[in-house]
Amino acid sequence: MFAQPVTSKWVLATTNPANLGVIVKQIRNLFIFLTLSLVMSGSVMADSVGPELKINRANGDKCVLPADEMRKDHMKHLQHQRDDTMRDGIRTEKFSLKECINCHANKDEADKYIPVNAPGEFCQSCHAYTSVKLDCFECHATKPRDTAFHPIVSDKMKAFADVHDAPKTKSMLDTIAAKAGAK
Amino acid sequence: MKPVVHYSAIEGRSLAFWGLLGTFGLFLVLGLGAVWVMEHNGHHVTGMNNQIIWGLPHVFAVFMIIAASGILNVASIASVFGKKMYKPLSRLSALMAIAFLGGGLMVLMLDLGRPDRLVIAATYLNPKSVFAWNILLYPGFFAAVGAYIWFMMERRMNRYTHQIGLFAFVWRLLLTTGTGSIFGFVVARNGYDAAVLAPMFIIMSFGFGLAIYLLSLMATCRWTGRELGDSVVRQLKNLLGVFIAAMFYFVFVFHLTSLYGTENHSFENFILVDGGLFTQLFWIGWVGVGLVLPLAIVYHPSMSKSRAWIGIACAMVIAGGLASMYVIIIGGQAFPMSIFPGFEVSSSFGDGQIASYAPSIWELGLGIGGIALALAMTTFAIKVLPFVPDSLSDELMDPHYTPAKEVEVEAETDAA
Amino acid sequence: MNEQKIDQYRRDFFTKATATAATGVIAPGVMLMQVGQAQARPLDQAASNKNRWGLLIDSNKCADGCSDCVKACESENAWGSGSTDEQKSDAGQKAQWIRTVTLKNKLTSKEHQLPMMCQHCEQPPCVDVCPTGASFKRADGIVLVDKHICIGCRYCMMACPYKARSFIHEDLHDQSPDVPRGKGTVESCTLCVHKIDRGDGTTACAEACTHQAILFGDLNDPNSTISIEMKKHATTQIRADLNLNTGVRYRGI
Repeated sequence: MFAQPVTSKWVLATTNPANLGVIVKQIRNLFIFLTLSLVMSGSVMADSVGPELKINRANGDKCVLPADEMRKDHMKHLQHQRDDTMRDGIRTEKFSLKECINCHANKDEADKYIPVNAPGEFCQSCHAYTSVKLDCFECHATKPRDTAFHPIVSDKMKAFADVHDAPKTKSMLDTIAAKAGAK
Repeated sequence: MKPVVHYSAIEGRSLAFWGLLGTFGLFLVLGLGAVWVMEHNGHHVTGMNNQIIWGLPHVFAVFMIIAASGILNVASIASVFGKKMYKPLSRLSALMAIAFLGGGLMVLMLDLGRPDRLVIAATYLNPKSVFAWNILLYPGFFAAVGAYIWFMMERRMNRYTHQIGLFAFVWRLLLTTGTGSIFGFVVARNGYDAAVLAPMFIIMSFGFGLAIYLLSLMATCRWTGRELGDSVVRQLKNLLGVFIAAMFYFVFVFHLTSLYGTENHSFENFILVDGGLFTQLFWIGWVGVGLVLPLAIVYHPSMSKSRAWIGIACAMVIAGGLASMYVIIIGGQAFPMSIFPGFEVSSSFGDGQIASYAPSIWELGLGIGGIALALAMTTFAIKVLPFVPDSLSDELMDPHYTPAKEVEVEAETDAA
Repeated sequence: MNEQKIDQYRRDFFTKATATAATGVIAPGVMLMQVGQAQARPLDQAASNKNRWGLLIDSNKCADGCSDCVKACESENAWGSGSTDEQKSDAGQKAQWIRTVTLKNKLTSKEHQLPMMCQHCEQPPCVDVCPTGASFKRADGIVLVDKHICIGCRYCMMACPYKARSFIHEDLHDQSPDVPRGKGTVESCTLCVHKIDRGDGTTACAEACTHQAILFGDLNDPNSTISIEMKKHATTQIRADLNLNTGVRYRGI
């Protein structure tokens, strides 16, 4: 009942202890295959394969690392940075995902940002080509955002306060402005 | 010499068998479909929200997980406490324990916000989390019970059955304690913060597990035409009666302790008096259907002799068990947390209000899918491996068996 | 719609600020707030346990019906009205990082309100119960969710005595680059960690409170305004019985 007729050679080999040699051979072949494919993939220059990327050269011509390193290791760096930022609050910009997006998000004709995970955009085109799931943007913003008004306001306020030794909060500015207006 | 108990795989070729397996399979597929809907859309399609954080899936999952460890009890009675009568019942008991834990875990895992990251639950462990302890306890249970089954089936390993049985028994106590503690260690909520929850969950697991086991055993024997003697049924139903009484005691103590402290009065009032659905589920579901009626049936002079009634009593314990889980899990969340004692509070986030919860069809589907998985696993496994004894007749099972009936029959023939 | 409002606000701000600067007058009687309590930490330096960030909330000053802090949090962290997301979730499913709670004295019926958010406990129950360690406390006392390893089990929400956490019930697309949040994970007030790391020295809620009911600062620094205020006045922790040593303290409950 339990032993259904097996068709795969691999299963046949494993079920019979006498075939240990076969298994060893198969494992060896697998290794050779994997190594070869690794070597092959490395030796074929990446320029000649893969999708054409939309890169916004207006933001500069160079990434933080040479392109082939980034192709291979971007996730390694991002993951390392992610833990540093998340756990320790280290916010260096070199490998920050936010900076990646700032640079790699393109704009449409209406001068609006297109999400980097939209079809044909920088992140998505490669990930679609290689069939690798793009999980970052389940949570991370897909385009730069300059509308978050508090940071901007507070930055200006801070600059203003630094120069004029003045109060920082909106309410106080309102009060001041109101009083100035009354005078 | 007494005849030896033989086990064999059930034939499992009939239309009825495939029909049964197909039905379970259908419910499982429907359950997985519900999961797809939930995961594709996000939990907004469910009735769960930021107040009722754990919904119907957890009712099913926790029920099945504690029932799983309870089902194993039958085997433990044989191997740990040396009751010979229970030995032939052990294999099925261990099998169903694995199946129900599997089903319960399926429900639990597929209700996660990110089930795709399940592997993280194994690769990142926070040693202080009760949930993480459980994540270690589950595979341990599978391994221990798996080994237990192997030791029982493999003649050479038979002599170690007692040791592995003892290990599995201790492990299952840990597992149920862990499951109970998931709730018992939540200090924030009136409905949960009680150490008595862990032992209460253990007693509940005894009751739910035995009810599920007895019902399944009667069904299996009936549908495969294997003899199931009255002595087995009688012993198991008497044991069920004891477990129900013990559950009763714990429910009583749990609420009595709660009622004693004034701070819990409003929570107790909510569950026991004016909690609407929760109060109804408590009194009608948990106490009435789950405890009083089955207790009455299993000790009733004539009903307790009827298999049909015993089956109904088992089903009642199961239904009451689900109701009790609903009251504990959902009721405990619906009641507002006491963040500002002494004040009447209100906010846009449900402070000071009884939270409402309307379970969606998807959650129900997932829960039933889990049960279907457990039953399908059991049904399939008894077809491929010898879990079920060929016979559980009184002749084999009852140490005081005297073939009284046959004598009578002979006497009658003589008279004729 | 929202952006228009923001633009309007910005215009107002600049006009007024310029007007003020031009007149060069700081009105007398306006108390100067202590600025620069928190120096910007170098970008490559880790947060340290020399600081413990916290809030002091004065519910006497918190004005009835005002929800400026909530609005500011929404726009800063892009949830609620600060984002176009969460349209499918019902009211009970939508995230709320901060809320105003109205307390009514049972005896006197006196009502007052206060903002509630993550209390940034020193001994956070959410961190204890999290199976993967996604819930964690940073060295400087900020309790956060690492959404990279959050599996969405929601045990932290069960454990939190303050109901401070929300679960995301649907796909999101309109996050702020500084505030990642997404479906199937749990989130809560971050104490505007991105602003702290940037050296803003305040949170959106504290910044927006026109009644000075919310004071942000370093509880470990004896000379910070928050420490001085807490030495001067009686303060309480919510659910002090749990002994969690919260980073958010209250006056006037």
